[in-house]
Amino acid sequence: MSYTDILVHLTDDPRNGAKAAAAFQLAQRFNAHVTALYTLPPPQHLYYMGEYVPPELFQRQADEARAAAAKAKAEFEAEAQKQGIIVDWLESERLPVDAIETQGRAFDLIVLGQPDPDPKDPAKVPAGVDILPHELALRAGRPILTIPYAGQYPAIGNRVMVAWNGSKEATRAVHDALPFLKTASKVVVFGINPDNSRGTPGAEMARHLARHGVKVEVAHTVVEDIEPGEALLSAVADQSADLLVMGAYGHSRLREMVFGGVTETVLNSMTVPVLFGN
Amino acid sequence: MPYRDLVLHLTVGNPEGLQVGIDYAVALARQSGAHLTALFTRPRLPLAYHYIPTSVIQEHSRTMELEAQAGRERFNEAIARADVAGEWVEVQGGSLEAIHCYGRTADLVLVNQTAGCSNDPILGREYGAELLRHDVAIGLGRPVLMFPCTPKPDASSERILVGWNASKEATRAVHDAMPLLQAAKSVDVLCVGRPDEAAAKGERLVNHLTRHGVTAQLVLRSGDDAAAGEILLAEAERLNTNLIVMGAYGHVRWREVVFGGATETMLEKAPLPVLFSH
Repeated sequence: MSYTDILVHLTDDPRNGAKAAAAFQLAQRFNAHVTALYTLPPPQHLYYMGEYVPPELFQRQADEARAAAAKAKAEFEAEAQKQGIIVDWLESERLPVDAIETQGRAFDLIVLGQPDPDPKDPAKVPAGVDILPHELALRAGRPILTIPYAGQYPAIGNRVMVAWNGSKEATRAVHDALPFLKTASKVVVFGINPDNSRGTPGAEMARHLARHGVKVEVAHTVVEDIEPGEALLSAVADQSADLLVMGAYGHSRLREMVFGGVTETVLNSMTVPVLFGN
Repeated sequence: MPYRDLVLHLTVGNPEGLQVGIDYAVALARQSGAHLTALFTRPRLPLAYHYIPTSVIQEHSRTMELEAQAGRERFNEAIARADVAGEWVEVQGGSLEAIHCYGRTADLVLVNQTAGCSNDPILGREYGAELLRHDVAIGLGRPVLMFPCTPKPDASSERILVGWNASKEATRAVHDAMPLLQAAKSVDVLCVGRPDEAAAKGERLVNHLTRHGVTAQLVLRSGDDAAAGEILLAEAERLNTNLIVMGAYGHVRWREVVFGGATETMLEKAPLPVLFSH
Protein backbone atom coordinates (compact mmCIF):
# COMPACT_ATOMS: atom_id res chain seq x y z
CA MET A 1 0.00 0.00 0.00
CA SER A 2 1.19 3.49 -0.64
CA TYR A 3 0.06 6.99 0.27
CA THR A 4 -2.13 8.18 -2.55
CA ASP A 5 -4.55 10.43 -0.67
CA ILE A 6 -3.25 12.76 2.05
CA LEU A 7 -5.49 14.89 4.26
CA VAL A 8 -3.99 17.98 5.88
CA HIS A 9 -5.76 19.97 8.58
CA LEU A 10 -5.63 23.75 8.23
CA THR A 11 -7.24 26.39 10.38
CA ASP A 12 -6.77 29.96 11.54
CA ASP A 13 -3.30 29.51 13.01
CA PRO A 14 0.22 30.36 11.87
CA ARG A 15 1.30 26.79 11.11
CA ASN A 16 -0.68 26.34 7.91
CA GLY A 17 2.40 26.95 5.79
CA ALA A 18 4.48 24.36 7.62
CA LYS A 19 1.73 21.74 7.56
CA ALA A 20 1.00 22.29 3.88
CA ALA A 21 4.72 22.15 3.11
CA ALA A 22 4.97 18.77 4.81
CA ALA A 23 1.94 17.47 2.93
CA PHE A 24 3.33 18.69 -0.39
CA GLN A 25 6.71 17.16 0.32
CA LEU A 26 5.05 13.79 0.85
CA ALA A 27 2.81 14.26 -2.18
CA GLN A 28 5.90 14.69 -4.34
CA ARG A 29 7.60 11.65 -2.89
CA PHE A 30 4.61 9.32 -2.99
CA ASN A 31 2.82 10.81 -6.00
CA ALA A 32 -0.23 11.61 -3.91
CA HIS A 33 -3.19 13.97 -3.98
CA VAL A 34 -3.53 16.40 -1.09
CA THR A 35 -6.85 17.50 0.38
CA ALA A 36 -6.92 20.39 2.82
CA LEU A 37 -9.65 20.34 5.44
CA TYR A 38 -9.99 23.85 6.82
CA THR A 39 -11.94 24.10 10.06
CA LEU A 40 -13.80 27.33 10.82
CA PRO A 41 -15.12 28.39 14.22
CA PRO A 42 -18.54 26.91 14.91
CA PRO A 43 -21.55 29.20 14.44
CA GLN A 44 -22.22 31.39 17.45
CA HIS A 45 -25.39 31.84 19.41
CA LEU A 46 -27.09 35.03 20.49
CA TYR A 47 -26.59 34.25 24.16
CA TYR A 48 -23.06 33.69 25.43
CA MET A 49 -22.61 32.94 29.12
CA GLY A 50 -26.12 34.19 29.83
CA GLU A 51 -25.51 37.60 28.28
CA TYR A 52 -27.06 38.83 25.10
CA VAL A 53 -24.40 39.58 22.52
CA PRO A 54 -25.24 41.85 19.63
CA PRO A 55 -25.31 40.03 16.28
CA GLU A 56 -22.99 42.63 14.78
CA LEU A 57 -20.15 41.30 16.92
CA PHE A 58 -20.72 37.78 15.65
CA GLN A 59 -21.03 38.98 12.15
CA ARG A 60 -17.67 40.67 12.39
CA GLN A 61 -16.03 37.55 13.85
CA ALA A 62 -17.64 35.38 11.23
CA ASP A 63 -16.48 37.71 8.48
CA GLU A 64 -12.95 37.70 9.81
CA ALA A 65 -12.97 33.91 9.99
CA ARG A 66 -14.23 33.65 6.42
CA ALA A 67 -11.59 36.11 5.25
CA ALA A 68 -8.85 34.10 6.97
CA ALA A 69 -10.15 30.94 5.30
CA ALA A 70 -10.18 32.55 1.88
CA LYS A 71 -6.62 33.78 2.36
CA ALA A 72 -5.44 30.35 3.51
CA LYS A 73 -7.11 28.75 0.50
CA ALA A 74 -5.45 31.15 -1.92
CA GLU A 75 -2.01 30.51 -0.40
CA PHE A 76 -2.54 26.76 -0.35
CA GLU A 77 -3.69 26.54 -3.94
CA ALA A 78 -0.95 28.86 -5.16
CA GLU A 79 1.76 26.75 -3.57
CA ALA A 80 0.18 23.57 -4.91
CA GLN A 81 0.10 24.95 -8.40
CA LYS A 82 3.76 26.01 -8.13
CA GLN A 83 4.70 22.45 -7.17
CA GLY A 84 2.38 20.78 -9.65
CA ILE A 85 0.36 18.92 -7.03
CA ILE A 86 -3.34 18.14 -7.43
CA VAL A 87 -5.27 19.41 -4.44
CA ASP A 88 -8.79 19.67 -3.05
CA TRP A 89 -10.20 22.15 -0.55
CA LEU A 90 -12.82 21.27 2.05
CA GLU A 91 -14.24 23.44 4.82
CA SER A 92 -16.12 22.52 7.95
CA GLU A 93 -17.67 24.29 10.92
CA ARG A 94 -17.63 21.16 13.05
CA LEU A 95 -15.06 20.62 15.77
CA PRO A 96 -11.75 19.67 14.14
CA VAL A 97 -11.70 16.19 15.68
CA ASP A 98 -15.15 15.32 14.35
CA ALA A 99 -14.60 16.85 10.93
CA ILE A 100 -11.24 15.16 10.36
CA GLU A 101 -12.39 11.83 11.75
CA THR A 102 -15.33 11.69 9.33
CA GLN A 103 -13.43 12.84 6.25
CA GLY A 104 -10.30 10.93 7.12
CA ARG A 105 -11.78 7.47 6.61
CA ALA A 106 -11.05 7.45 2.89
CA PHE A 107 -7.50 8.75 3.20
CA ASP A 108 -4.12 7.07 3.66
CA LEU A 109 -2.50 9.65 5.93
CA ILE A 110 -3.62 12.62 8.02
CA VAL A 111 -1.25 15.57 8.60
CA LEU A 112 -1.83 17.71 11.71
CA GLY A 113 0.00 20.28 13.74
CA GLN A 114 1.30 19.76 17.25
CA PRO A 115 -0.58 22.24 19.46
CA ASP A 116 1.56 25.04 20.84
CA PRO A 117 1.96 24.20 24.53
CA ASP A 118 2.41 27.86 25.43
CA PRO A 119 0.49 30.08 22.99
CA LYS A 120 1.05 33.85 23.16
CA ASP A 121 -2.68 34.54 22.99
CA PRO A 122 -4.77 31.54 24.17
CA ALA A 123 -7.99 33.27 23.08
CA LYS A 124 -6.90 33.08 19.47
CA VAL A 125 -6.33 29.33 19.45
CA PRO A 126 -9.20 27.75 17.48
CA ALA A 127 -11.54 25.51 19.42
CA GLY A 128 -10.52 21.89 19.73
CA VAL A 129 -7.06 22.31 18.27
CA ASP A 130 -5.19 21.80 21.53
CA ILE A 131 -6.39 18.22 21.93
CA LEU A 132 -6.56 17.40 18.25
CA PRO A 133 -3.70 14.92 17.81
CA HIS A 134 -4.44 13.32 21.19
CA GLU A 135 -8.06 12.61 20.35
CA LEU A 136 -7.61 11.88 16.68
CA ALA A 137 -4.88 9.31 17.26
CA LEU A 138 -7.48 7.22 19.11
CA ARG A 139 -10.41 7.78 16.79
CA ALA A 140 -9.13 8.11 13.25
CA GLY A 141 -8.21 4.56 12.32
CA ARG A 142 -5.59 6.12 10.05
CA PRO A 143 -1.98 7.14 10.74
CA ILE A 144 -1.50 10.67 12.05
CA LEU A 145 1.59 12.64 11.04
CA THR A 146 2.06 15.43 13.56
CA ILE A 147 4.26 18.40 12.64
CA PRO A 148 5.95 20.16 15.60
CA TYR A 149 4.58 23.58 16.49
CA ALA A 150 7.82 25.33 15.58
CA GLY A 151 10.46 24.85 12.93
CA GLN A 152 10.60 23.81 9.30
CA TYR A 153 10.97 20.21 8.19
CA PRO A 154 12.19 20.01 4.59
CA ALA A 155 13.17 16.34 4.88
CA ILE A 156 10.75 13.95 6.57
CA GLY A 157 11.46 10.25 6.56
CA ASN A 158 15.02 9.85 5.32
CA ARG A 159 16.20 8.55 8.68
CA VAL A 160 13.34 6.98 10.59
CA MET A 161 13.20 5.80 14.18
CA VAL A 162 10.55 3.22 14.95
CA ALA A 163 9.66 2.89 18.62
CA TRP A 164 8.87 -0.81 19.01
CA ASN A 165 7.51 -2.48 22.14
CA GLY A 166 5.59 -5.39 20.63
CA SER A 167 2.18 -3.85 21.33
CA LYS A 168 -0.77 -3.71 18.98
CA GLU A 169 -0.54 0.08 18.73
CA ALA A 170 3.11 -0.19 17.77
CA THR A 171 2.47 -2.77 15.06
CA ARG A 172 -0.30 -0.60 13.64
CA ALA A 173 2.06 2.35 13.52
CA VAL A 174 4.86 0.39 11.88
CA HIS A 175 2.65 -1.07 9.18
CA ASP A 176 0.95 2.27 8.56
CA ALA A 177 4.42 3.78 8.15
CA LEU A 178 5.63 1.22 5.58
CA PRO A 179 5.66 3.65 2.64
CA PHE A 180 8.05 5.85 4.68
CA LEU A 181 10.15 2.90 5.82
CA LYS A 182 10.60 1.52 2.34
CA THR A 183 11.86 4.82 0.94
CA ALA A 184 14.07 5.76 3.89
CA SER A 185 17.82 5.51 3.69
CA LYS A 186 17.96 4.28 7.28
CA VAL A 187 15.39 2.80 9.69
CA VAL A 188 16.14 1.98 13.32
CA VAL A 189 13.81 -0.32 15.25
CA PHE A 190 14.28 0.97 18.77
CA GLY A 191 13.21 -0.52 22.10
CA ILE A 192 13.28 0.99 25.57
CA ASN A 193 13.70 -1.45 28.44
CA PRO A 194 12.77 -4.28 26.10
CA ASP A 195 11.79 -7.78 27.06
CA ASN A 196 14.67 -10.14 26.27
CA SER A 197 12.77 -13.39 26.61
CA ARG A 198 12.46 -14.04 22.92
CA GLY A 199 15.98 -13.35 21.72
CA THR A 200 17.32 -9.98 20.59
CA PRO A 201 14.61 -7.38 21.11
CA GLY A 202 13.25 -6.05 17.86
CA ALA A 203 14.90 -8.78 15.81
CA GLU A 204 11.60 -10.31 14.72
CA MET A 205 10.21 -6.99 13.60
CA ALA A 206 13.48 -6.18 11.83
CA ARG A 207 13.35 -9.47 9.97
CA HIS A 208 9.76 -8.79 8.91
CA LEU A 209 10.65 -5.29 7.72
CA ALA A 210 13.65 -6.61 5.82
CA ARG A 211 11.26 -8.88 3.92
CA HIS A 212 9.44 -5.72 2.90
CA GLY A 213 12.69 -4.33 1.49
CA VAL A 214 13.38 -1.95 4.36
CA LYS A 215 17.02 -1.14 5.25
CA VAL A 216 16.66 -1.77 8.95
CA GLU A 217 18.85 -1.81 12.07
CA VAL A 218 17.96 -2.70 15.61
CA ALA A 219 18.90 -0.80 18.75
CA HIS A 220 17.69 -0.52 22.29
CA THR A 221 18.39 1.20 25.54
CA VAL A 222 17.79 0.46 29.19
CA VAL A 223 16.89 3.39 31.38
CA GLU A 224 15.97 3.66 35.01
CA ASP A 225 15.90 7.25 36.09
CA ILE A 226 14.65 8.91 32.94
CA GLU A 227 11.03 8.79 31.90
CA PRO A 228 10.70 6.55 28.80
CA GLY A 229 9.21 9.33 26.66
CA GLU A 230 12.23 11.51 27.36
CA ALA A 231 14.54 8.60 26.63
CA LEU A 232 12.80 8.10 23.31
CA LEU A 233 13.18 11.74 22.31
CA SER A 234 16.85 11.62 23.31
CA ALA A 235 17.36 8.58 21.13
CA VAL A 236 15.69 10.39 18.23
CA ALA A 237 18.25 13.17 18.62
CA ASP A 238 21.17 10.75 19.06
CA GLN A 239 20.26 8.93 15.87
CA SER A 240 19.61 12.18 13.98
CA ALA A 241 16.25 10.80 13.00
CA ASP A 242 13.93 13.07 11.05
CA LEU A 243 10.77 11.05 11.69
CA LEU A 244 9.59 9.08 14.72
CA VAL A 245 7.05 6.28 14.27
CA MET A 246 5.24 5.09 17.38
CA GLY A 247 2.02 3.57 18.66
CA ALA A 248 -0.21 6.01 20.52
CA TYR A 249 -1.76 5.37 23.91
CA GLY A 250 -0.73 1.83 24.67
CA HIS A 251 -2.00 2.84 28.07
CA SER A 252 -5.36 4.54 28.16
CA ARG A 253 -5.35 8.24 27.54
CA LEU A 254 -6.93 8.91 30.90
CA ARG A 255 -4.16 7.03 32.64
CA GLU A 256 -1.53 8.93 30.69
CA MET A 257 -3.16 12.24 31.49
CA VAL A 258 -3.05 11.42 35.19
CA PHE A 259 0.20 9.52 35.48
CA GLY A 260 2.04 10.70 32.42
CA GLY A 261 3.13 8.44 29.63
CA VAL A 262 5.18 8.17 26.51
CA THR A 263 2.48 9.43 24.15
CA GLU A 264 1.74 12.49 26.25
CA THR A 265 5.43 13.27 26.62
CA VAL A 266 6.06 13.01 22.91
CA LEU A 267 2.96 15.04 22.01
CA ASN A 268 4.12 17.79 24.33
CA SER A 269 7.82 17.79 23.52
CA MET A 270 8.37 16.36 20.05
CA THR A 271 11.40 17.67 18.21
CA VAL A 272 10.77 16.04 14.84
CA PRO A 273 7.57 15.05 13.03
CA VAL A 274 5.92 12.00 14.59
CA LEU A 275 3.75 9.39 12.90
CA PHE A 276 1.27 7.96 15.41
CA GLY A 277 -0.63 4.73 14.94
CA ASN A 278 -3.24 3.20 17.17
CA MET B 1 2.89 -3.51 -1.60
CA PRO B 2 2.10 -7.23 -1.33
CA TYR B 3 2.05 -9.25 1.86
CA ARG B 4 5.45 -10.58 2.88
CA ASP B 5 4.74 -12.47 6.11
CA LEU B 6 1.69 -14.61 6.84
CA VAL B 7 0.91 -16.51 10.03
CA LEU B 8 -1.43 -19.50 9.99
CA HIS B 9 -2.83 -20.47 13.38
CA LEU B 10 -3.50 -24.19 13.87
CA THR B 11 -4.62 -26.10 16.96
CA VAL B 12 -4.95 -29.63 18.20
CA GLY B 13 -8.30 -31.34 17.98
CA ASN B 14 -9.12 -29.77 14.62
CA PRO B 15 -7.73 -32.00 11.88
CA GLU B 16 -10.06 -30.67 9.20
CA GLY B 17 -9.14 -27.09 10.03
CA LEU B 18 -5.50 -28.06 9.82
CA GLN B 19 -5.75 -29.61 6.37
CA VAL B 20 -7.95 -26.92 4.87
CA GLY B 21 -5.89 -24.21 6.55
CA ILE B 22 -2.59 -25.45 5.23
CA ASP B 23 -3.89 -25.66 1.67
CA TYR B 24 -5.49 -22.22 1.85
CA ALA B 25 -2.57 -20.46 3.50
CA VAL B 26 0.05 -22.02 1.26
CA ALA B 27 -1.92 -20.98 -1.84
CA LEU B 28 -2.20 -17.44 -0.51
CA ALA B 29 1.50 -17.33 0.38
CA ARG B 30 2.44 -18.55 -3.07
CA GLN B 31 0.30 -15.90 -4.77
CA SER B 32 1.79 -13.14 -2.62
CA GLY B 33 5.37 -14.38 -2.62
CA ALA B 34 5.16 -14.33 1.16
CA HIS B 35 6.85 -16.31 3.93
CA LEU B 36 4.38 -18.49 5.85
CA THR B 37 4.69 -19.34 9.55
CA ALA B 38 2.45 -22.15 10.80
CA LEU B 39 1.79 -21.59 14.48
CA PHE B 40 0.54 -24.81 16.06
CA THR B 41 -0.80 -24.28 19.56
CA ARG B 42 -1.85 -26.84 22.09
CA PRO B 43 -2.87 -26.53 25.70
CA ARG B 44 -0.34 -27.32 28.35
CA LEU B 45 -1.77 -30.44 29.96
CA PRO B 46 -1.80 -30.71 33.72
CA LEU B 47 -0.35 -33.78 35.40
CA ALA B 48 -3.67 -34.37 37.09
CA TYR B 49 -7.10 -32.96 36.45
CA HIS B 50 -10.12 -33.41 38.71
CA TYR B 51 -11.51 -36.87 38.38
CA ILE B 52 -9.73 -37.76 35.18
CA PRO B 53 -7.15 -40.53 35.57
CA THR B 54 -3.51 -39.75 34.78
CA SER B 55 -3.44 -42.43 32.12
CA VAL B 56 -6.12 -40.62 30.18
CA ILE B 57 -4.15 -37.41 30.35
CA GLN B 58 -1.05 -39.16 29.13
CA GLU B 59 -3.07 -40.63 26.32
CA HIS B 60 -4.14 -37.15 25.30
CA SER B 61 -0.60 -35.98 25.46
CA ARG B 62 0.48 -38.72 23.09
CA THR B 63 -2.41 -37.98 20.74
CA MET B 64 -1.46 -34.33 20.63
CA GLU B 65 2.13 -35.23 19.96
CA LEU B 66 1.09 -37.39 17.01
CA GLU B 67 -1.22 -34.70 15.70
CA ALA B 68 1.54 -32.12 15.88
CA GLN B 69 3.92 -34.42 14.09
CA ALA B 70 1.41 -35.21 11.34
CA GLY B 71 0.63 -31.52 10.98
CA ARG B 72 4.28 -30.61 10.72
CA GLU B 73 4.88 -33.20 8.04
CA ARG B 74 1.86 -32.13 6.06
CA PHE B 75 2.89 -28.50 6.28
CA ASN B 76 6.48 -29.08 5.24
CA GLU B 77 5.33 -31.17 2.35
CA ALA B 78 2.86 -28.51 1.22
CA ILE B 79 5.35 -25.64 1.28
CA ALA B 80 7.99 -27.68 -0.52
CA ARG B 81 5.52 -28.57 -3.24
CA ALA B 82 4.40 -24.97 -3.67
CA ASP B 83 7.92 -23.55 -3.38
CA VAL B 84 6.91 -21.34 -0.46
CA ALA B 85 9.34 -20.29 2.29
CA GLY B 86 7.87 -21.38 5.58
CA GLU B 87 8.44 -22.32 9.19
CA TRP B 88 6.58 -24.61 11.63
CA VAL B 89 6.37 -23.34 15.21
CA GLU B 90 4.82 -25.19 18.15
CA VAL B 91 3.63 -23.50 21.32
CA GLN B 92 2.27 -25.14 24.45
CA GLY B 93 -0.14 -23.08 26.45
CA GLY B 94 -0.84 -19.37 26.03
CA SER B 95 -2.30 -19.56 22.53
CA LEU B 96 -3.57 -16.00 22.56
CA GLU B 97 -0.22 -14.55 23.59
CA ALA B 98 1.54 -16.64 20.95
CA ILE B 99 -0.80 -15.53 18.19
CA HIS B 100 -0.36 -11.90 19.21
CA CYS B 101 3.39 -12.27 19.51
CA TYR B 102 3.91 -13.88 16.10
CA GLY B 103 1.07 -12.05 14.45
CA ARG B 104 2.25 -8.57 15.32
CA THR B 105 5.42 -8.99 13.28
CA ALA B 106 3.44 -10.29 10.31
CA ASP B 107 1.11 -8.77 7.72
CA LEU B 108 -1.87 -11.08 8.21
CA VAL B 109 -2.98 -13.90 10.52
CA LEU B 110 -5.14 -16.75 9.21
CA VAL B 111 -7.44 -18.58 11.62
CA ASN B 112 -10.00 -21.28 11.13
CA GLN B 113 -13.60 -20.40 11.93
CA THR B 114 -13.75 -23.19 14.46
CA ALA B 115 -10.31 -22.43 15.88
CA GLY B 116 -9.88 -23.71 19.36
CA CYS B 117 -13.26 -25.34 19.31
CA SER B 118 -13.18 -28.76 20.82
CA ASN B 119 -15.76 -30.69 22.81
CA ASP B 120 -13.09 -32.64 24.58
CA PRO B 121 -13.06 -31.61 28.26
CA ILE B 122 -9.30 -31.42 28.41
CA LEU B 123 -8.41 -30.17 24.96
CA GLY B 124 -11.27 -27.71 24.81
CA ARG B 125 -10.27 -26.32 28.16
CA GLU B 126 -7.94 -23.61 27.11
CA TYR B 127 -10.10 -21.43 24.95
CA GLY B 128 -13.58 -21.44 23.51
CA ALA B 129 -13.83 -20.64 19.83
CA GLU B 130 -15.83 -17.43 20.22
CA LEU B 131 -13.52 -15.95 22.80
CA LEU B 132 -10.41 -16.79 20.88
CA ARG B 133 -11.62 -15.26 17.66
CA HIS B 134 -12.78 -12.15 19.45
CA ASP B 135 -9.64 -11.67 21.49
CA VAL B 136 -7.36 -12.34 18.58
CA ALA B 137 -9.15 -9.83 16.38
CA ILE B 138 -9.36 -7.14 19.05
CA GLY B 139 -5.87 -7.35 20.43
CA LEU B 140 -3.76 -8.11 17.39
CA GLY B 141 -3.33 -4.83 15.56
CA ARG B 142 -3.15 -6.74 12.28
CA PRO B 143 -5.89 -8.11 10.02
CA VAL B 144 -7.29 -11.57 10.68
CA LEU B 145 -8.38 -13.73 7.77
CA MET B 146 -10.91 -16.25 9.02
CA PHE B 147 -11.71 -19.22 6.75
CA PRO B 148 -14.34 -21.97 7.03
CA CYS B 149 -13.72 -25.64 6.40
CA THR B 150 -16.86 -26.29 4.42
CA PRO B 151 -17.24 -25.26 1.77
CA LYS B 152 -13.51 -25.31 1.02
CA PRO B 153 -12.34 -21.73 0.75
CA ASP B 154 -11.17 -20.35 -2.57
CA ALA B 155 -7.69 -18.85 -2.22
CA SER B 156 -7.89 -16.96 -5.49
CA SER B 157 -9.70 -14.06 -3.76
CA GLU B 158 -10.76 -12.88 -7.20
CA ARG B 159 -14.15 -11.49 -6.22
CA ILE B 160 -14.09 -9.41 -3.06
CA LEU B 161 -17.00 -7.83 -1.22
CA VAL B 162 -16.18 -4.96 1.14
CA GLY B 163 -18.67 -4.18 3.92
CA TRP B 164 -18.30 -0.42 4.38
CA ASN B 165 -19.88 1.68 7.11
CA ALA B 166 -17.12 4.32 7.32
CA SER B 167 -16.14 3.25 10.83
CA LYS B 168 -12.54 3.22 11.96
CA GLU B 169 -12.56 -0.58 11.97
CA ALA B 170 -13.82 -0.63 8.40
CA THR B 171 -11.16 1.79 7.19
CA ARG B 172 -8.46 -0.32 8.82
CA ALA B 173 -9.84 -3.43 7.15
CA VAL B 174 -9.93 -1.86 3.70
CA HIS B 175 -6.39 -0.53 3.93
CA ASP B 176 -5.11 -3.79 5.45
CA ALA B 177 -6.71 -5.69 2.57
CA MET B 178 -5.30 -3.42 -0.12
CA PRO B 179 -2.89 -6.00 -1.62
CA LEU B 180 -5.83 -8.37 -2.11
CA LEU B 181 -8.10 -5.64 -3.46
CA GLN B 182 -5.44 -4.63 -5.95
CA ALA B 183 -5.03 -8.21 -7.17
CA ALA B 184 -8.76 -8.97 -7.40
CA LYS B 185 -10.75 -9.24 -10.63
CA SER B 186 -13.81 -7.59 -9.12
CA VAL B 187 -14.41 -5.55 -5.97
CA ASP B 188 -17.86 -4.59 -4.66
CA VAL B 189 -18.39 -2.09 -1.87
CA LEU B 190 -21.59 -2.68 0.11
CA CYS B 191 -23.09 0.19 2.09
CA VAL B 192 -26.14 -0.48 4.22
CA GLY B 193 -28.31 2.30 5.54
CA ARG B 194 -30.29 5.29 4.44
CA PRO B 195 -29.79 5.75 0.70
CA ASP B 196 -28.31 9.26 0.62
CA GLU B 197 -25.89 8.69 3.52
CA ALA B 198 -24.84 5.29 2.27
CA ALA B 199 -24.23 6.62 -1.22
CA ALA B 200 -22.09 9.51 0.02
CA LYS B 201 -19.93 7.30 2.24
CA GLY B 202 -19.59 4.67 -0.44
CA GLU B 203 -18.65 7.06 -3.21
CA ARG B 204 -15.84 8.58 -1.18
CA LEU B 205 -14.38 5.13 -0.68
CA VAL B 206 -14.80 4.10 -4.31
CA ASN B 207 -12.94 7.24 -5.44
CA HIS B 208 -10.15 6.60 -2.96
CA LEU B 209 -9.84 2.98 -4.10
CA THR B 210 -9.58 4.12 -7.71
CA ARG B 211 -6.51 6.11 -6.73
CA HIS B 212 -5.04 2.86 -5.40
CA GLY B 213 -5.65 1.15 -8.72
CA VAL B 214 -8.78 -0.68 -7.56
CA THR B 215 -11.96 -0.41 -9.64
CA ALA B 216 -14.86 -0.96 -7.27
CA GLN B 217 -18.63 -1.11 -7.81
CA LEU B 218 -20.89 0.45 -5.23
CA VAL B 219 -23.83 -1.62 -3.93
CA LEU B 220 -26.42 0.15 -1.79
CA ARG B 221 -28.94 -1.59 0.42
CA SER B 222 -31.29 -0.22 3.04
CA GLY B 223 -31.38 -1.77 6.47
CA ASP B 224 -30.05 -1.19 9.95
CA ASP B 225 -26.94 -2.31 11.79
CA ALA B 226 -28.50 -5.46 13.18
CA ALA B 227 -29.39 -6.71 9.72
CA ALA B 228 -26.03 -5.78 8.22
CA GLY B 229 -24.51 -9.22 8.71
CA GLU B 230 -27.37 -10.99 6.98
CA ILE B 231 -27.37 -8.47 4.14
CA LEU B 232 -23.63 -8.93 3.72
CA LEU B 233 -24.02 -12.70 3.45
CA ALA B 234 -26.92 -12.39 1.04
CA GLU B 235 -24.94 -10.07 -1.23
CA ALA B 236 -21.90 -12.33 -1.05
CA GLU B 237 -23.99 -15.17 -2.32
CA ARG B 238 -25.59 -13.08 -5.06
CA LEU B 239 -22.21 -11.79 -6.25
CA ASN B 240 -20.45 -15.15 -5.92
CA THR B 241 -17.88 -13.53 -3.68
CA ASN B 242 -14.87 -15.50 -2.49
CA LEU B 243 -13.62 -13.06 0.16
CA ILE B 244 -15.38 -10.56 2.42
CA VAL B 245 -13.51 -7.61 3.91
CA MET B 246 -15.01 -5.84 6.92
CA GLY B 247 -14.26 -4.11 10.20
CA ALA B 248 -14.75 -6.24 13.29
CA TYR B 249 -16.47 -5.27 16.50
CA GLY B 250 -17.41 -1.76 15.67
CA HIS B 251 -19.78 -2.21 18.54
CA VAL B 252 -18.59 -3.74 21.79
CA ARG B 253 -18.93 -7.47 21.93
CA TRP B 254 -21.53 -7.72 24.69
CA ARG B 255 -23.82 -5.51 22.70
CA GLU B 256 -23.43 -7.72 19.65
CA VAL B 257 -24.11 -10.83 21.69
CA VAL B 258 -27.28 -9.32 23.10
CA PHE B 259 -28.58 -7.36 20.13
CA GLY B 260 -26.90 -9.23 17.34
CA GLY B 261 -24.44 -7.61 15.07
CA ALA B 262 -22.56 -8.02 11.85
CA THR B 263 -19.36 -9.40 13.32
CA GLU B 264 -20.98 -12.13 15.35
CA THR B 265 -23.17 -13.09 12.39
CA MET B 266 -20.13 -13.51 10.18
CA LEU B 267 -18.16 -15.41 12.78
CA GLU B 268 -20.96 -17.90 13.23
CA LYS B 269 -22.19 -18.32 9.72
CA ALA B 270 -19.91 -17.09 6.99
CA PRO B 271 -19.49 -19.83 4.39
CA LEU B 272 -16.53 -18.06 2.85
CA PRO B 273 -13.33 -16.40 4.07
CA VAL B 274 -13.63 -13.07 5.85
CA LEU B 275 -10.81 -10.60 6.45
CA PHE B 276 -11.40 -8.64 9.67
CA SER B 277 -9.59 -5.72 11.16
CA HIS B 278 -10.29 -3.93 14.36
